[in-house]
Amino acid sequence: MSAKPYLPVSEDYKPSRSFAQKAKDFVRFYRKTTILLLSIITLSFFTLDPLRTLHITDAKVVIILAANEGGGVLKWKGPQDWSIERSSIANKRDYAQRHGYALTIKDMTLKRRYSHEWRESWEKVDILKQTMRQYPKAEWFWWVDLHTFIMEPQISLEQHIFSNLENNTYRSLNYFNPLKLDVDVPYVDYTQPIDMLITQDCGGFNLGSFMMRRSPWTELLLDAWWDPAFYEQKHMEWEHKEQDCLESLFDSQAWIRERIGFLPLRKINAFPPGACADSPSADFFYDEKARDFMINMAGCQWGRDCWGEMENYKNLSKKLHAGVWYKPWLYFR
Amino acid sequence: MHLGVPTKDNFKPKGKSYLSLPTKYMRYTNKWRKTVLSFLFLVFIYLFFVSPSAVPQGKFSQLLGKSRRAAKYPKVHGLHVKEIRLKSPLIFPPIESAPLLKEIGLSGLFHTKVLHDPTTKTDKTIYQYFDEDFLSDNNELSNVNNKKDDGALLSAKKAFLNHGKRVFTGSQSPEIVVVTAIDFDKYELSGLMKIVQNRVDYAQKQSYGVYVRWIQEFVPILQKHNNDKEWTRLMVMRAAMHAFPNAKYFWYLDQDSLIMRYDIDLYDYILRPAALDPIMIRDQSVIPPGGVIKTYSDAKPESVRLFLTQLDTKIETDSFILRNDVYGKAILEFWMDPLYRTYGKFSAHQDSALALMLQWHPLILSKTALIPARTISSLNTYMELPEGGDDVHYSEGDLVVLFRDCSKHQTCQKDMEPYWKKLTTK
Repeated sequence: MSAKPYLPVSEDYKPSRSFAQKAKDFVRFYRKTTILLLSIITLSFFTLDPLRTLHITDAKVVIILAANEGGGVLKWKGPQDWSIERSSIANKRDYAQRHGYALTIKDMTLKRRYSHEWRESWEKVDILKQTMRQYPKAEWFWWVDLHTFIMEPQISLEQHIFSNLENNTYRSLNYFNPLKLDVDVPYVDYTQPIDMLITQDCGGFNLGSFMMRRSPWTELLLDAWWDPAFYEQKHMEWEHKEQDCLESLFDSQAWIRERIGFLPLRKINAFPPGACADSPSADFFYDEKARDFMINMAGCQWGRDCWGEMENYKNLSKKLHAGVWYKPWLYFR
Repeated sequence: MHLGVPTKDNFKPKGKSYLSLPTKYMRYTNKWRKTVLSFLFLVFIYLFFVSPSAVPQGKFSQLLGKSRRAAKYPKVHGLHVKEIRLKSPLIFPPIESAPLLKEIGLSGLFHTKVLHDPTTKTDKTIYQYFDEDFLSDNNELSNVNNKKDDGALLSAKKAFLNHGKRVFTGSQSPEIVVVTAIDFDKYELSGLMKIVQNRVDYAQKQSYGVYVRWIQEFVPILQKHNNDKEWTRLMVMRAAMHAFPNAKYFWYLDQDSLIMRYDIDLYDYILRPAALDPIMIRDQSVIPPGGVIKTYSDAKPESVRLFLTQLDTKIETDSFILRNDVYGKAILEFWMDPLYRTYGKFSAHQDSALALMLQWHPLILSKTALIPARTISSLNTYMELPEGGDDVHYSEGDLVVLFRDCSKHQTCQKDMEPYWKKLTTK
């Protein structure tokens, strides 16, 4: 019988411990840290919102989508309203993802602090200011209303507008002037850069889809937009609130006029036949053959069928972008 | 066999054809190469024009130069489209024509229209600017049918109508421009002479610009909204910014005042950030005493565009400085918006508008600095002042003396005399 040879073990020998044991020790010594980590992990199953608010993005363009208008206060929010909201958001999200833009969905619920008739027009301005703070690196901010649908999502905004800003816009009202404002006013210097892009429809300015560039001018305009003396005199006349106020500021103040560029309506804001219905001009209406970029079902909530229109244009977009043999990737979208 | 010297047979066609090479020569090259090349070409076309990474259409048409040419927009102009270009930075009207202008009166200086108001049964005279073409190119008055216009009157009227068209186009723009609006109904000729001479002397010493306009030039605009003459100062400031597009600061100094120190350079004195920093009044109520909205406690001197002084109960605008950039222009144009000028609750005209603007627009407030009153708007007083003076009244050595309430007591001309004597005997 052979005895096992004696192996001496040094005094400071410690047997190697298993991972489970190590973890146990960690929990024992760092109890508070563990609790914090565990709760963060548990929370992250339910929401990623805390992380999203950090907005770690380098996007140069931010799309601001105004959703939940009225917030079901004035009218019961039915299944059709939910459906419209879903389609519109999905459409903008796809578009933003495809071109590396940021999308932020802003809740336009009726808030008590805007309920006083004097302060109605502050919400849009507040949201713009807030978004500019949220995305300090972004340059352009594109406001879109909920009842819109991007029909040609393959076109980037740079390609569509920004790369050729001067040629895509008109700045003097002699090209189109539905409000009959003065065309030639003193002190307007058109050599200034364009910092805001808006459209005009048959009734004047349209703020259903507009863009602002980050600049001192933009900050000033957002600061000047609402004034108690203006509003006290005009709140009965200004049905469209900030839209009418902007028209008035544009009319009387040269520094505002000189940096606003107008895009043709169909460029970012084409209308369905129901809006501006009395107008004979084709310049307002979505043209399938011309493949207009975006449709805005402006005013569909006033007696038209929003859901029907939305579904119609959604399907039309699908049809226009259906796969063909020489564009096989469209089948996989 | 070929031995170097060609024989007749060498030139004979071989094969069936009489040509030495078959016409379908290509058939002998590599058939496959051609197929592969054309296939690659098609793939290239496909990738270039059709695939998702294709050259965007917009870019392509740009390369071809097909894009629409940028539209032409009108050039920037002032109230008048036509301009008179001056090389001198001292722009002021011929003061000596003041009595003549008074004689001609507003009805002679403007195109007038009488409107009858049937409800109140009163007539209202509307003054309008003449057409731009009223003065022909060589500045002769066309269609003069007023026989009263003799030579002197006519030239006075002509100068009045043309004065607003003057802009500075010299090679070296002054950094600072002193702006004043003068009223030929308020001052006698001697008073007006002193006011303008004072500004011009100061500007020449410091190589600043001067921009003086008649208040009466703005009557048609004021009349539109029944505005007080006080609003004119904002309009004159805006016109000055147009007349001196490259100047950095504009100092509005009311006509009821005199500059008492020709040796003080405004920039070194208050405008430069290092000088402004210690004297900016921070955390001060816009409407004293006890107004809720206060100037920012962390305001930076570099960001200041509007320099104001505050006297007893409100901010005064008899003497203020504005910087010429996007902020300065925005502040000024917003301040004189027609909706401010029609607002019924502004008892102190442009001063009330300013107070409201500063209290409701935080960005504008952050670009504003309140500076001690005695820097640019010391008030004239008949009282004995304590040794070293007080916070608001003029003492020996101050830059400016303001005769604030002189119009109320109709003493403007008289108040100015002792100060003018002091200036001329120096």
